[in-house]
Amino acid sequence: MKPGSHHFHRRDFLRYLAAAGATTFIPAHLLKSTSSPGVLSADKPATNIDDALKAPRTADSMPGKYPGRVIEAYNAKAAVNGKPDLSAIQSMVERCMLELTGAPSLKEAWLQFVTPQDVIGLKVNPVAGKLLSTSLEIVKAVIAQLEAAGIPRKNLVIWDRREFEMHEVGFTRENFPGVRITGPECKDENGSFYNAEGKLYGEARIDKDWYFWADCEDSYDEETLPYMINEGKYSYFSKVVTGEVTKIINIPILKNAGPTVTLCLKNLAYGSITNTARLHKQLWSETTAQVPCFPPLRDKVVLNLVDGIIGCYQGGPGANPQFITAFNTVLAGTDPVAVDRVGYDIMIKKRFEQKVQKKESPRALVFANLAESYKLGVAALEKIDRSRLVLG
Amino acid sequence: MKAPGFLVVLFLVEISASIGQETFPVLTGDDVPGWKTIEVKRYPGKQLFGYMNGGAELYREFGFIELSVQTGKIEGREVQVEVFRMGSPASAFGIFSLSHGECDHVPGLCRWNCASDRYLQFVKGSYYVTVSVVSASTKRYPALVAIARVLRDGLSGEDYNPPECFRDPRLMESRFRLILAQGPLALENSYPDWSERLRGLEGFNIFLLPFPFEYGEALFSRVTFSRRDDLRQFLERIGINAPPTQGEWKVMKYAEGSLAVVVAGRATLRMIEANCRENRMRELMEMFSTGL
Repeated sequence: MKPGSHHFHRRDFLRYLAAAGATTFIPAHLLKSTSSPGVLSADKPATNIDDALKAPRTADSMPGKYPGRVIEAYNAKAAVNGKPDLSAIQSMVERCMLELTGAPSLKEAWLQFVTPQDVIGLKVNPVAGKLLSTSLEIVKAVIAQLEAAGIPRKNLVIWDRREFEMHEVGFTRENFPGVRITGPECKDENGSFYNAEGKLYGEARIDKDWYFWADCEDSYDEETLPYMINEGKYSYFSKVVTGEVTKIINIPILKNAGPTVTLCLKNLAYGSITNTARLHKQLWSETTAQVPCFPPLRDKVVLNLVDGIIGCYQGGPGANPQFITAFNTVLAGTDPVAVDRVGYDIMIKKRFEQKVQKKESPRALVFANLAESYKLGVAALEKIDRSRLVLG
Repeated sequence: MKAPGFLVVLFLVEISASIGQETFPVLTGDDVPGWKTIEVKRYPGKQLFGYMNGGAELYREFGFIELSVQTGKIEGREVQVEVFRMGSPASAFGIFSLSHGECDHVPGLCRWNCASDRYLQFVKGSYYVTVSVVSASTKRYPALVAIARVLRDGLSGEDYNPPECFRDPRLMESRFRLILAQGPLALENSYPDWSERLRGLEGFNIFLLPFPFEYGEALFSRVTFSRRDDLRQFLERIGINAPPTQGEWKVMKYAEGSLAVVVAGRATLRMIEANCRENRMRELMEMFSTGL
């Protein structure tokens, strides 16, 4: 996938298939020239989604082992004095895993998704700062359970686009010894994004062979560029996604984005590529649904755990303390679309209850319906197998 | 003879440069006893994406210019101050109107302010300011008001005045429900059905005020379009193919209730939507007629 062509070359397929150890079975319909399934409006800028859809699926492709299944664990005491309680969260994650998989033990539950040979990326979301980040507690709970399942700590990577934001909210070596913490947008010890040659450090951390192309662009000044890494019509995937990890556990936080939600798909989409500012305004839903269709995400994300202990129902995706609330909930599923749909259901009820919204926006679920049309999961609530566990 | 002219040019350049540079208030321990600054950062223009990523679009829609973020500690709590310089007092009010939700008005601070346990926000001139306690807590923190007063005094500008038609004392009682949107994102965040009504139109601004009355709730709106043709398109979308005469109210049965609409200028309209009888609608129209 070289810039300028925005076509998926055969050697890219083969290289990817070899890297992923996939079988060579290619469904016939994917061999045809695939067009977006009739859900994009004509006035939207074109993207290279068709290239992504041509990539053969693997056994691990979204929606994963449990399409349409979502576990919702609730514990009224999960947050104490506005802070997540580690032991409550450990138990919520554990119950989610057992209920989702039906496995007889927690170890077997985790080993349905990962092996000790995997390098596992834990995708967090620190973008709204200390008040509204994926909590350190849920990540600690996941790490403890992975270790108990035999996954070596050295095989774990906590990542996001912005390395420095992870540090700011507490994803540090001190809090997570032995776990790598990385992201392409990074600074050196002097706070500079640029090395001695004047190049962004981030450039070495992106993979220009994998990109989301969209026919819209933006230009940035020297100060803005570090947050975007590149300008133009290409958004490149992070190397951590394309090359460094073999599995991804996605841990977004339960928050609104206007009248919709920013959960599993959004966390993956905007958290894995560069040059996102150009995409928010015109292609929010499309980017959210389309970027996870690219093999490095589609075939590696094995589990989604939404941190809904403390989230927000208004003011998101930023943190407005007035609207931050304890949902006391963890959502789990392999199907990111179904998890997002259930998260939206929780969110819209809260927004109605708090009178910040009266009617649903017809645009709110466009991203989920698009993602369903790309076969990433189930968007229709009535088709979702939703189990609610009340743990306290 | 040329030298003085050159000096004048230099002098003018110097003046214009200093006008372009805005100073933001920075809290010190002298202003707020016990305050210790941790960090001050500035985010001009598109750098806002570096601060809040996707959330930046909404601010940019409102004409965002620059943000100053100061974090500090006081009495063991971490407090964050954000001062957004927007393009105009209306823009600053607009972002406030979308952001405050249900909270308490602090008397004597300024006209547009709103406080909750860990958060206070206000508008002064073209500035939208938030003060928040970052440390986890569920208790109200009174020092936020003291901090806000210092910030208010360090900023120039007057209290924002909404359009005259919203200044009826009965409507003003609901003033904290007044919303100003200057683009589709703001509408999507507040009145998504309006977002559909205005889809594809550009350069509009719209005020919306829900107003409870004994039989239900009315929605007062005032929309200014950038082009007269947009006004015509909008009227067609809400089912009015024969626009009212300029300055005249037109009342009609609309969807499940009544609709009153007036075209008040070349590209401005006012509208009331309510589930009520026509005589009741007349009363609402009278309330909303100021300045016609």
